[in-house]
Amino acid sequence: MKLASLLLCAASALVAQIQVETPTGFQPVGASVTLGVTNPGDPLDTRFRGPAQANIQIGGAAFSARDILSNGDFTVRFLPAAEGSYSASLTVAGVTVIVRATAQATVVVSQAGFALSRGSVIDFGVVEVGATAQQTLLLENRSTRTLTVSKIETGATILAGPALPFNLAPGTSVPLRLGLTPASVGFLELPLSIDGREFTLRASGTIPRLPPARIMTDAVAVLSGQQVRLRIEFAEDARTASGGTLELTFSGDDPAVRLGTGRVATFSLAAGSRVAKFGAAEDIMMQTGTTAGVIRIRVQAPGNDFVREFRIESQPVVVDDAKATREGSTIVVAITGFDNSRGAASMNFRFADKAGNPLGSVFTVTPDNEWKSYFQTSGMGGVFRLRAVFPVAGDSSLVGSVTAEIANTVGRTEIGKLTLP
Amino acid sequence: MKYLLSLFTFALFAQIETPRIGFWRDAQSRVRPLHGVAGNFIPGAAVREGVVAFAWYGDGGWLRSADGIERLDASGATVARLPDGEARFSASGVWLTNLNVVYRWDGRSLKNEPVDSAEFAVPHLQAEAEADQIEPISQDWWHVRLRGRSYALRTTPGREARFEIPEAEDEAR
Repeated sequence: MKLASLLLCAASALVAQIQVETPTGFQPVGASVTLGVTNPGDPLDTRFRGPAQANIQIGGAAFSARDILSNGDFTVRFLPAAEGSYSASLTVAGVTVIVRATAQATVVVSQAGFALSRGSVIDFGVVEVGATAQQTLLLENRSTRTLTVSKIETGATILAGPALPFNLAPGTSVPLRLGLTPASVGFLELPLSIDGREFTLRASGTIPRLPPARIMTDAVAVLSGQQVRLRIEFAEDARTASGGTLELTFSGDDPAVRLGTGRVATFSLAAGSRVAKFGAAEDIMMQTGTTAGVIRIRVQAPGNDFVREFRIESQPVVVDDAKATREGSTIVVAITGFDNSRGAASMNFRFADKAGNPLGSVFTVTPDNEWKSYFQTSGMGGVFRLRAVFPVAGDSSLVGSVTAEIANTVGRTEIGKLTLP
Repeated sequence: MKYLLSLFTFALFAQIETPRIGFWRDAQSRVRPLHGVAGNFIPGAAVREGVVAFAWYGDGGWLRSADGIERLDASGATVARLPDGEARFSASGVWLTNLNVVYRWDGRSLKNEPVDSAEFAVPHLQAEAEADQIEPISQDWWHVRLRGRSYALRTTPGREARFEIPEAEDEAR
């Protein structure tokens, strides 16, 4: 943009061997070219292009040629020491044009004591998305006459600064405090223009770090066969909106051990809140499955990466449902439940008549192989449905009830009295 | 007593299998088995897709799709069909609400019967008005879809409870 004020003189019929860079690309120059206006001591660089390997010469105070490339590209630097109008002859491959420029005292924009040249990038550093980074610039008058600042334009927030227009006496300065607030991760660049002198304000937006978090659950003790609610609470309100992931891993093999959404869930955290949200809910369901082991819940969010473990201990068989029915000349006992130790072994059945008198002795069944074979192949954790069929030689309608007991490596579970319909 | 003692000749150990609660229609309109026990559900792989309405009662059920309304037997096989239309289901009946006609499955065919709307009632839920879907999963279980989540409602007397059905697709079996 520093070349926006370039005036191209087209009066000359010189062969267009010399080109100057403009906002729309390189353009042929005429007999003369005006480079623009700058502050004394403030370099004004302009890119030119001539024939490859061309001999380049420039004569005149305050002008110099630099960055000469073999393809013919080079830079003319105008660096005046004092105010005034300047000109020089620029000769490229035997063709000469006049270059002009003006030095005019303007306020010096400085940052941390260093004067900034036009086009400079003013770095606001790394800042969390949603937070505001601040920089204070100094507008200085280093000339010997009073300077007026009429216009300050910027996409940044002016947090503090003088009312416009204002005059600066020689040797004085005023601060200009600016704020940049990235709305997303990555570079944020906004312009700053002070009486036509342009600068770039830059900040790097990063994911906000969240306060320390912890996983809460509504269960006093986490056991197999539960659905518990998990909630992520942060130590204090989040300064900015953010989010993270919650990942479940299990030491064993059980597809029922999972969150409501699978084994991974994403959560969000609103600015000003300290409770993570899973969609619209403030908690998420976790199934503990039917296998003993260790469930690990890992929370990853900016500033947080931690694991909470839930140890699921082996326990006696849990019966969810049990029924005894009469099917013709057989009594069928169906038991649904889970064995999180996968070590179910013996079962005892005791039958009684309708008055409650025992019928025969206790029937003990030890189907070790069947249990092992089932758990090895089911792929469904420790859940099972068992159907035990008892053929009756006599009148099965005499049987009124059955009590059952099932044992695994941890203990015995009384199933209770199952009344036959 | 001696006679009674000889009632049982031996115990035949018949079977250990994966428990199945029933079948349900997920958020993608697929019918899937629901394995496991209360509070530990393992949704199985889809057996039907493009299902508009579904009801399963353990020994049979009803399914509505673009192809019409189907009566399913205990194995899930289609045993009778009706043209598509708005419908409500009970264990053995289908109420075509637009026509105000009930058809009852008698084990062999569908027969027309007078409408008794009480037969087609669904469980009373506090959030019933907000529920997007209430369909039976089996005799004692209902599937309730509420605010984007699926729940399994147990209606066994004395054991009433509500559980969440995990729905991620990555673990469909």
